[in-house]
Amino acid sequence: MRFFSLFWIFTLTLFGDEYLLVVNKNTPIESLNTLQVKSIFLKKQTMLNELLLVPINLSPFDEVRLSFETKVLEMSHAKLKSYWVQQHYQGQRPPINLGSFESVLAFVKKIDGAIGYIPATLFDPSFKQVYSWEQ
Amino acid sequence: MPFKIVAFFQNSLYRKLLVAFVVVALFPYLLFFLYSLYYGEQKIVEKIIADQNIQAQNIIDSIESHLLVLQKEIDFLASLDLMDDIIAEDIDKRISRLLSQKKEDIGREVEIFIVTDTVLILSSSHKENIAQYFPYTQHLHDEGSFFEEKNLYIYSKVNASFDQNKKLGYLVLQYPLDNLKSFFHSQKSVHIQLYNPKTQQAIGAKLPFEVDVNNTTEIENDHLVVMKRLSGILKDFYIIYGEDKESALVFLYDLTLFILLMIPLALLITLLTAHYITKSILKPILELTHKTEIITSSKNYAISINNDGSKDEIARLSLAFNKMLQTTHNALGALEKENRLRLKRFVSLIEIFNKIIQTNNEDECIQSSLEEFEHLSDKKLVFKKNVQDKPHLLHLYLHDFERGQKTYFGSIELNIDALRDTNEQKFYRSIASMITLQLEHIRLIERTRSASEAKSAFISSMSHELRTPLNAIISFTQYLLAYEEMAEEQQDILSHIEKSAHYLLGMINEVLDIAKIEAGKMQAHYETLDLRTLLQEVCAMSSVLAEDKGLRLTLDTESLLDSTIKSDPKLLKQILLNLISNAIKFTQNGEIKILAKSQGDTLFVHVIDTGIGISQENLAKLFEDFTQLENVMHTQHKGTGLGLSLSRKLAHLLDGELTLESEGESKGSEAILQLRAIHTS
Repeated sequence: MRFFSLFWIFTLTLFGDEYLLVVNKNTPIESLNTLQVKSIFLKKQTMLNELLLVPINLSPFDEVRLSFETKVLEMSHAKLKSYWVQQHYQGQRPPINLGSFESVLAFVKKIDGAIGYIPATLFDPSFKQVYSWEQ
Repeated sequence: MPFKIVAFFQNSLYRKLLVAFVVVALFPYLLFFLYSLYYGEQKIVEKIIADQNIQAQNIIDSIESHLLVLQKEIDFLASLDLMDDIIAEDIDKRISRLLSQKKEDIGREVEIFIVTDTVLILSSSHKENIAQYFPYTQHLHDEGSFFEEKNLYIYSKVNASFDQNKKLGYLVLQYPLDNLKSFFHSQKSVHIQLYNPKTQQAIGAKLPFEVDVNNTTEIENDHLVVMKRLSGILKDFYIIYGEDKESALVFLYDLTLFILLMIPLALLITLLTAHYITKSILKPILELTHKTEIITSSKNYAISINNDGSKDEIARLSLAFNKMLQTTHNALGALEKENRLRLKRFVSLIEIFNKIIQTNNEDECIQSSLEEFEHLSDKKLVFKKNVQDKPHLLHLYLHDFERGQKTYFGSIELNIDALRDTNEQKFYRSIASMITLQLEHIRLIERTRSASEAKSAFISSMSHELRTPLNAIISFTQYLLAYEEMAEEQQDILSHIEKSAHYLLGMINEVLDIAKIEAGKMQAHYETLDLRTLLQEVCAMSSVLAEDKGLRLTLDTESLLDSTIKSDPKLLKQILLNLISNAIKFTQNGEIKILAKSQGDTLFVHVIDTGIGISQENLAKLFEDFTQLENVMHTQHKGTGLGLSLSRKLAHLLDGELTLESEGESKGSEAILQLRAIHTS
């Protein structure tokens, strides 16, 4: 299982594949623009109506996470770090991180309002795609 | 008996000290022994119980803090963000790895696992447990612990990090209770157990004694037991801490036995030490006493007491004693020296006196005195006359008996004032007095001798001058009586004149004799004679006188053994005639008895009368010249008073002695002539 995921990361990195932000079917979000994604992942917006939004990161220094941060959030890792240090003092915590795309999918599937990024290749119709970017 | 004991201690400092030492040394020892015997066990048991309480509490504290740490650990783990992986069912095994890590950290046979709502063990430190069913989910609440079987379960609820209201499951620590044994000591005599009286559950080795939970402290025959209830997670448990009494008290029993066995040894050591110390204390005192006894018995104050180098009180006493001895010795020495000096002075004074006394004239006296002075003062001294104006010299003043005053004689040139010692001054002054005395003596003798010689010469010449006319008177009177015819009245007068002249002649003769004897001109002419014959002659001559007065005159010579003697017959006859005539003169009636006897080398002639006798006080006066005792018969007794005196002088001339005895007045008297028998053979 792990082997395949590494393989996919490898191929996607090489070929500049597409990445998706996904939520489960129960989450009342159909699509997000970059600004919305930024506000969710920088925890400027935490709630959607009554629903708690749970953004999910991968482990630090993960290639895909770095790509997400530079391409989507448009912030360097160092800048993000200082941002979260600042936020920490205001009672905000950075998004939780999980170890693998599989975990992300399992997590999103169970938690309404959870948003995680996965390679497009791993997408299955039981999820909803709300955002995408390319390597 | 008590007096004997008191005397036993009173008489000896050694015994007192010895007993004091023994009491002081053994008293605490015995006290300790008795204390350990009676209270030791109780105290030690109390101490052990207290120790056990502390130990049990320590164990409780250790266990509780250990479990508290575990609880906190679990709480902490449950609060980690990582627990969000439960949602993803720990696909990445991040939780499992963490739990395994923690299990290793805790280091005991524990298991840590996640129980989710679906009652499955999702992830665990032990792989086999994963996906197993957890049977005790009914015990799980927010956080806490519970017991099942032999395990303690400590758990904490896990919530989602992003939503505290979202329960993800439970983090459970399975802790085998046997792990707690590691908090017990492994000591043979100590028995420790964790016991839950509700469940009868016991952790630890089986106890060798029964336990009653209601009694927290128990002292059994063989064990000392302490029970303490735990709090917190293990609040139903008691810790039972028991210790074997035998092994806990073995030290006390050993100690008591040891002390008991050591008592004789301690006593011996105490006695020996006390003996040694007492001896060493008493040694200088005894020496002091001994030395004092020696000193008082021998009077030798030169003895000193040795010091062994110590500087204690006794040493100081010895030192002071030595000083006192030294002072006494020096004082005695000085005294003796002075005494000797004084004696020497005294002896020399006597010698000087002796020498001065032996001198016969003034020049010799002065000369030998000067020599003696020179001898004493090592100075050449000069005798000077006419220097009485110098007061510091030794002046000699002589007493003039005729004028009755003192006259200056001369001075010895010795500066008396230069002598500081008043005794010395007195010494020299006494010599001067002695010289003065001797000079006076010499002058007196010379004066007396010349006076006596003048008197003798006067008497002698007077007697001669008187005798010549008296002889003429007697011869003419006798002529007239014989050849002239006279009336009876005239004849009476003439016979009176003749008698008186005879009397006067006799008196003059006696005076002449005495003067001769005193002038040393009378000499005895010795020849051999027979005393018996001489006595018979004298008696024959005196018998006429006795018959005239009607007295009986007897001679007894039976006791005379050897009558031959060497003497002057004339003088001896004169003495005897004088004595017999005296006896006749002073006896009115009765008898005159002449008794001669020899006694050894001495001849005695007693002339015994029954006359008027002489009183004791007058006896001594009798032999003085010109003495005749006054008595009623005075007028009847004509005499010169020279008779006895002359007789005695004659007796002395014949180397004999004359004495007179009387028992008193009118009791008669007895004259005794004592002569030395010079046997011709």
